[in-house]
Amino acid sequence: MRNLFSPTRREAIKSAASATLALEVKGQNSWFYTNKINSPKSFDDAENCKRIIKRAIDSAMSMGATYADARLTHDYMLKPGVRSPARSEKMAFGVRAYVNGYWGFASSTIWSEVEAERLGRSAFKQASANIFNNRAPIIELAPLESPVSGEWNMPVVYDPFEISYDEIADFIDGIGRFAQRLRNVVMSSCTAQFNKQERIFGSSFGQITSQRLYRTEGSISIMVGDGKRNTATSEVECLSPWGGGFEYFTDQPLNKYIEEAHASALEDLQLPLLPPEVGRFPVLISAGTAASLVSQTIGIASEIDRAMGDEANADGTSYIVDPLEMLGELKVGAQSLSVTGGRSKIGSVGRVRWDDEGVEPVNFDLIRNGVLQNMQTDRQGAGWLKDYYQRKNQPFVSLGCSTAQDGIENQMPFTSDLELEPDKKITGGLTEMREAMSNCIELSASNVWMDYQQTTGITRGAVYQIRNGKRSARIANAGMMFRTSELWNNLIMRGDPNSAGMFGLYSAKGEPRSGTYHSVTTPPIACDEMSIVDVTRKA
Amino acid sequence: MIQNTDLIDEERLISDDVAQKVIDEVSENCKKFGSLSIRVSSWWGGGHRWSRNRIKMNSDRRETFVSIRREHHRATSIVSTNQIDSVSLKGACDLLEYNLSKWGEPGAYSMPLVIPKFESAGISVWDDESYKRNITDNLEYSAQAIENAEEQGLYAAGYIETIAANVRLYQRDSWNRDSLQTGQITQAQCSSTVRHPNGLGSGWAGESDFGWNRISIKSVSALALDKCTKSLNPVRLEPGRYQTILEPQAVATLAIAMVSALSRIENESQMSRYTLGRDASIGRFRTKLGLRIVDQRINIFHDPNDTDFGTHKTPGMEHVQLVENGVLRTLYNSVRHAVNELHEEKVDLGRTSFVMTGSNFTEDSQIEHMKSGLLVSRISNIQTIDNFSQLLTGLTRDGLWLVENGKITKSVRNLRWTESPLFAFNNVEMIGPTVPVFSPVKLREVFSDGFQNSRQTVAVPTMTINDFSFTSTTDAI
Amino acid sequence: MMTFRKLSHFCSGLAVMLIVPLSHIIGQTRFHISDSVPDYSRYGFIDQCLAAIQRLELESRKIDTIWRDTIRFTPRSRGLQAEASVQAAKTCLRDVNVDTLPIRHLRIWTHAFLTADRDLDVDRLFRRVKSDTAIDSLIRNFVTEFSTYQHARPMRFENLKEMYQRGMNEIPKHPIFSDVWLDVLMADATAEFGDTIGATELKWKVVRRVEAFPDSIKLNLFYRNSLGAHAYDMLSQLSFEQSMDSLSRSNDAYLSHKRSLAYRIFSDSSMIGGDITGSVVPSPTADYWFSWAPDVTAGNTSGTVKRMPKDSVFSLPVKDKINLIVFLNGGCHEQSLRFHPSIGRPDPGGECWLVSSALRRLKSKFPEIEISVVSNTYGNIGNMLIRDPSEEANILADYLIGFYRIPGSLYVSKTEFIRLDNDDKRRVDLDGENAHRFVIGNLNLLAPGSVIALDRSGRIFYYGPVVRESEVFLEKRLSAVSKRAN
Repeated sequence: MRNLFSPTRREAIKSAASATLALEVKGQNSWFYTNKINSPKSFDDAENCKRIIKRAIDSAMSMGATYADARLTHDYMLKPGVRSPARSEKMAFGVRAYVNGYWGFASSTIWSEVEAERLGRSAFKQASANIFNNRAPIIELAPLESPVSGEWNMPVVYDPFEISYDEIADFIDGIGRFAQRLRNVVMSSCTAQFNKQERIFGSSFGQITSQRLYRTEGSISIMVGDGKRNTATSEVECLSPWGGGFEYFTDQPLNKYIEEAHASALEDLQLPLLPPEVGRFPVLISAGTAASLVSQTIGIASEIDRAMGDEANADGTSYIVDPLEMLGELKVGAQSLSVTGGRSKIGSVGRVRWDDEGVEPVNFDLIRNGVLQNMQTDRQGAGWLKDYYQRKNQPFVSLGCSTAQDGIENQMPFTSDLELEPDKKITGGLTEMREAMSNCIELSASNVWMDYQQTTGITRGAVYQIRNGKRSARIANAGMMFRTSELWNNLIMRGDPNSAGMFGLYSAKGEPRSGTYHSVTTPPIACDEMSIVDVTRKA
Repeated sequence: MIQNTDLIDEERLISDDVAQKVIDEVSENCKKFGSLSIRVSSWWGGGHRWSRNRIKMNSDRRETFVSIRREHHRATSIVSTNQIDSVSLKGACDLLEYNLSKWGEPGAYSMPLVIPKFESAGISVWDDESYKRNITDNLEYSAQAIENAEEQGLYAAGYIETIAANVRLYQRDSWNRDSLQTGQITQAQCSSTVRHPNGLGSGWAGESDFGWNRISIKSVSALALDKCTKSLNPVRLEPGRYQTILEPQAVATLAIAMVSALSRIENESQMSRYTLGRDASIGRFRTKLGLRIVDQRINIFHDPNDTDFGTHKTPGMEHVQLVENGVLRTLYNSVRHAVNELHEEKVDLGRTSFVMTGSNFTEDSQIEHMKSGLLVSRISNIQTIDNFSQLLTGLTRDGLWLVENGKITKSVRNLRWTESPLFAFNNVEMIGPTVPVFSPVKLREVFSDGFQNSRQTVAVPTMTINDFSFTSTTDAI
Repeated sequence: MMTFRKLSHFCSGLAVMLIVPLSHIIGQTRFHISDSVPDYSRYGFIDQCLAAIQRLELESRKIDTIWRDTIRFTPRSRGLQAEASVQAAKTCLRDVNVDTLPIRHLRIWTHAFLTADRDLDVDRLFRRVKSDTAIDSLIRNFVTEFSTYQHARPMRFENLKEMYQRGMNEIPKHPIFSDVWLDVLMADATAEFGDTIGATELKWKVVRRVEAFPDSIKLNLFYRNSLGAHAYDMLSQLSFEQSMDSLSRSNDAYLSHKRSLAYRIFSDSSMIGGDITGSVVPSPTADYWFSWAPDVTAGNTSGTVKRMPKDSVFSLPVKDKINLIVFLNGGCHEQSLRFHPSIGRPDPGGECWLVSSALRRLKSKFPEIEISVVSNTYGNIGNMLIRDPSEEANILADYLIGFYRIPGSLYVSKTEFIRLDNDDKRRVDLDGENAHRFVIGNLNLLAPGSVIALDRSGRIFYYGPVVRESEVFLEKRLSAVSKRAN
């Protein structure tokens, strides 16, 4: 194998290392060891963490940065499995510097002062390299008036990393056993994953925040068979990513949900399977599928960087091509469509006290009465909208959507937790809506595949024919093909607040690509005159 | 005020010595019985991103990754960390042993880890230029790209990235046989999108290779700009079946979907994409090995010794013919499955890099020969609709044109297509010369599932396909 | 179709939300292993309890590998380990009333009931079950009842007979194969008590009924793994003489006979694809080698033991002879019976010391066979502490050849004694290098006390246990193979 470095350089490093440090610890050399000397043991070594963060910021600022921030993250992951448990821990350190309008970012895995110094310097250099040859106007960062320091832990009842692992394993194994013994069950599976992230953020405003966040998720699926090669699978939609601990499993009546899913799978087996009838029909959409639709067509589309074209070379842009002109004007959907954003809801997976720029997220109207009211912004993103905010006499602040997967990746504005307002005037959920609609098509457990501008999409999942308020048949290979504007303008019915469910969803973007989670709370919805197609049909 | 000379101020990757020390330390802490596999890898990535005619961000990221896997007494446990100090490694090992003692059944048999036959294999796809590259070296290219776009009143976005990664994989099985494999790669990639400010047109181009000097950023940005100007003001076209010229980037997307399904385990154990049916006498499924699956002009192979594609001679990895004159010749297999289940000596490891041979009809001559049809620049947002027939759906992106009587006549609004690569490659009209396409390795996935995936060179020709199925229009540009 | 989480549920959950106090987490280091114990009172449904019971039973079995030189061995101490699962079961069952439990749940609760109280009056469990007359429940409950009676103490043959009668009367002919189960169960039961009510007839009955099934059932995975597997087992027993006849001709004939049996049951001869009959085995390795002195014959108690140096030239299997390679490794070093906590009786798997007498009998009947015992050092023998592998090898030789008069050679491979951080810091692994080398095809690690029999050409014709009834079957196989010309 070739050496990683040219011999001369390699030799130089070796001799340098042996001269200074090699004797101290088992000969580990250079960068990796030197920087570990002051490494804090964990998040709880708070003073040391703060010192490191401050060192990184000072390092960038002393070289001339306008602004700098630094993040330490410690990720814990636990995947229980009776014969194959997996655990991982990752520590990361990311430093971002802002120099005359340009960003630089440097990250690594070492928590130490020496490394802090290097990262601060590197981030500054990354940023400052640009200022020589760029003529584009500088986008102002939204001000952070009085940054608050402090500590916040997401409230959990059972920290999965603290309670007995046996208890978790018994629980997960038990769920599988429970599902397995239901009538006609051919196969069942239950998975779980627990994540915890400790993050400390510091910025050149002198702000230091530390947060401990949790994410718990899982899946339960049941396959029933009728002994004649016909099977039906049902997923229990109650374990999507959630902001909390092991209580997500223990506090939900999972058995009841499993029994319901089982009953529904058995019902599926009884239903005839029809080929799709292509055409326009009123469509009833389950809460889970509605959440994906909201996330894709409203959440992701209103991320400010997408709209401004930052993602043009990566994931794509948005149908909101000119936010300044479209805010307050663009009619996204019907009068009854209102979507709010925020990151404070209990159980939501994007919940934080401070975002990754030290901003305390606020609750905001994204869409009010069908009209686009705001974009999901970070500090720079808000800068794009300064004119609009001034025109409307609204405060010029970031909405707190800046998020990063971990310290290795840089911050970007991601979708915050969204809520599609339920209908407070009616009572009833999916069942009542089915009865009210009488004859329609029902979409459930569907994937939503959008285009790269979030304008058109297609769904793929379980589709039912509803006759006289009841499921009368399954429709094979059917999907809903829609334009975003058409979908929301045709919104005719929403479930009541009790029928709303909260669903955690993942979205990724960027170059380099990284992803985060957000929750969408939505009731089941119904839209009129939607186009149903045979997804598998070729031209 | 900036001294750019010292940007490589520290080593960007974990050194061999340190990686070996980590392995030694873990190996010492782990029990002798059962199998052990330790993967120590690190990567560095330098990114330079611009959009809307301004630099967005420069970044320099480094990560280390240690993954330890032990199997014993029918239990498997995986623990991973990115910290290589003794405290972390000891903690990881303790937890691993705890898991095994907790969940293992003494005396129970677990399928042993099988050490590949080739010992001390090393993969090196390395270019010093790329490794030493500084972010400031990229500035002139983005500046030029932005300037060119600005001149025409368009917006440029793009990304240049150079990465380096190395890995050291130590495996020890229940027999105490061990092996050490190492790998190191570099990669340079550049891609650019040029868009009209009002979203009336978009063009994309990209190149990736192991060596910085082997890609041309200038031509990438020029091509993206050219495609954008040509794609302005598209007209609507009815979906339907069209004779379609797929440019190499589009062909590659289909070909990757086809090649990645060539798994022997999957196809022999269940009804799958290359399965004929179950054979009761062998207790397995018969596959389409030896049968013609695509047009007989199509040859697909992987040759690790072909330096043209940056792959260096790799011990244990040989020239593999996947498809020969349209006939399926190889299904990938894992060492474990081959040795333990099939009792076979020879193993064809899965490879994500491949070459599809071409012929001499250039894109221009294919356009000339076309009476009426479409020219597709790139396809995007692929989703699988049906596994058995490999039916996919996706969208055209960044350039779709109508060809009439041998000439490009109009830019067309993007269409959604629904098609199977097997159908498409059975309806080939003309094949062009083979060129490498943009297929960078994802940084976080480098070396994550084995050495064979460390290199993703894909080279395919332009193709004219008959009756390519476009199913609906889309508003996206 | 889907259930989804109701908001109201989470609002009510608010009341119990607490912030985990920071002090709780301070002191946590990387890859911290939580030392808290499961809180069984939080276990909401029986399946969790069953999972816990099984997990604890698994853990209790691990005591087999704990090396005790200071603790005096008593079978009872092993039973004590099961106490944890008994406690878990009792905690879980604290609110469960047998008389009000839904009938369909009883089936899976029985294991928990029996764990909590092994002297339970099982009739009480089934008092209500018997009143359920739905066909589906009858069959399911019947199966449960059978296994419960079988595992209860004492096993009640009278109950089984009564069940059988009841089953035959109450369960009408069912279009699917469920009712054949009655015959299977009864055949099993009668075989266990001697052929008092016609096990052979019952077996034939099962086989004939199964043979008549259409292919659609025979190719069904569930059938293959359950009823089909039983039926194949029965047919193999019934056709044993024919099998031996084919074995006396050749391995191929024997295999093709087995395939034909498989075809009758499964419509698919590949169901015995994992059979390793005819395979060639690797040579065992040895660091220490022992044999009878050449002038001493087997059975002579005054014989001396000859010890060969490590570098002796030896080769296994011995050419042109019928070879038996016997594994007396690992677990055999604990001269004891394993106590199986869940069934409350000794586990028949641990009887490796019976092997020597079986081998002596076989050797006296077939003097030409070559017996090689393979063992590995393990760190202890019984309660005896061993410090050096060579010491253990010598003791083994004294023990196996000198005391137990094993009529063959002994090959001992060296296993390093590993001290672990867990348990009592002296856990040692049972399986040595040879055990792993002899994993062939689908053959699992050979259990201590099992044997591989090779014909004169060095190919396997039998693998498995050698004690009790297996000895009789092995003897018949040996007699068949020794009839072959070569």
